[in-house]
Amino acid sequence: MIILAQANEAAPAFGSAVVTYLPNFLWGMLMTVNVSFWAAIVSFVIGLVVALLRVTPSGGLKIVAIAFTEFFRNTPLYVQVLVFYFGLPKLGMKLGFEIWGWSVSDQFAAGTLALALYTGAYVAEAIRSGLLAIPKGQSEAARSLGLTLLQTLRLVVVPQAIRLVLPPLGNLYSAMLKNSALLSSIGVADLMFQAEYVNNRTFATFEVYTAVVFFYLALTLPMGWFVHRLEKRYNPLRAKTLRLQGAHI
Amino acid sequence: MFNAAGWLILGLLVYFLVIPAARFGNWSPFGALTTWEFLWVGLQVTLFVAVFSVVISTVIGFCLALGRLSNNSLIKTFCAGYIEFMRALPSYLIIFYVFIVFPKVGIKLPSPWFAIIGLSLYTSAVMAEIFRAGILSVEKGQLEAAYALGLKPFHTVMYIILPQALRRMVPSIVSQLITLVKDTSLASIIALQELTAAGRQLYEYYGQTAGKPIVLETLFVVAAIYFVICYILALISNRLEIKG
Repeated sequence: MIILAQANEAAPAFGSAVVTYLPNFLWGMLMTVNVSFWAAIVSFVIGLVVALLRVTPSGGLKIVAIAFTEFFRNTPLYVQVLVFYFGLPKLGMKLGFEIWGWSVSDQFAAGTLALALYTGAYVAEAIRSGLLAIPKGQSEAARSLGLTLLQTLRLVVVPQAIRLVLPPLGNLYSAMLKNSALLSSIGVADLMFQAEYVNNRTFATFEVYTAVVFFYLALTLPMGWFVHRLEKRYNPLRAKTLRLQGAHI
Repeated sequence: MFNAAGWLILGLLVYFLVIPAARFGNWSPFGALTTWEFLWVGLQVTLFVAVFSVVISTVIGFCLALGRLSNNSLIKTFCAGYIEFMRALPSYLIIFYVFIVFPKVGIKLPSPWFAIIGLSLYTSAVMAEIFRAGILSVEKGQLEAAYALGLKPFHTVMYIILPQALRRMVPSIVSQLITLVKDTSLASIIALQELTAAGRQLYEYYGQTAGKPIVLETLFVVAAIYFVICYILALISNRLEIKG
């Protein structure tokens, strides 16, 4: 019996590391969803504001919006994460904060902000192309009826654009969930981070990372399916070719 | 009123962000040629990985797209399965997997090749979807006409479908290229000595030796280099789009 036990210790059954550390993986999944959720909200607000800045007639605001989008779209997310996590503290800025007894760590705040700004630039482009797809006569008619610029956007243009914008947004957020994996590099305890932790304790590299593959699939496949349904519902004719303009982020 | 407010905001941003950064940042390390040489070594690795990944993933992606469109259900299922599987995974995880698991299995390669394999695994799946969508976007009559004229399936794709599809695919392909260039930085988290890793080592080195830290300055320079590459790609894409 003793020999048997030792043999078992020397070569644990395949998959035992994953089973033993299942809570870690589940917490990791929860953290991945958590980061993505907050980044999604923040990036939507950023994207909406930037898109509106870009369609306003003001030259200065347009330049600010264009600079924002082009900068965040054309630099790697990892470099942005480094800027927010290692760069800003050098200026004396700490991003962590406390709210209603919940403390938000520096890693979480910096990671979420970087992810949100990066995705926000793409969201802005998606919203803008939705807004531009609305015929110009619509906003001209609204303006000639005496609506202000903000009223025109709020009451006439945005409700029509949402249908065009939702499917691409779904694609973007599904891509954002995948991008959140690299936040593990600054210590956000997401799925990748937990995988590294379990790997360091068990050295069962192959099975740990294979398990993580399936945990990610469990998150992204339902989301992809949901996005596909959105596409079919709002743009049945374009659903087939929409992948051509899918999110490359 | 709106217009004036816009210019005011732009002015405030320049005054409070850009000018202080230029004045108070420690830019002296970037006056030395050795700094740039160090970054250039990293940039070479980035470009090497990016170029090889593009070529490999375009070829594999094209084959996968044709496979998914083929009539053979076995090939079709395999290609569709591969594409959907890889597209659903974070590219960081795929690169990580290749870097961590391949050496354990006994495959030994220089680290840029691990990055190339990881990036190609992911990008080929995305490229395949772009090719497939492009091919499907060509009107069916074109295909039927080609068959009616007696062209073989291979020739139909090469001479009739692809030339038309390519124009529609160019914007998507280029934006995937941009993503690929940016994704090479993910490999630096693991082991690859490329541009971002070079930048990180640079500011860590300056932080340990005497002198002001240059974290933000270095990251800004690194970001600017990536920006130039990606922005040029985007401009080329715009030109091609207008022509096509």
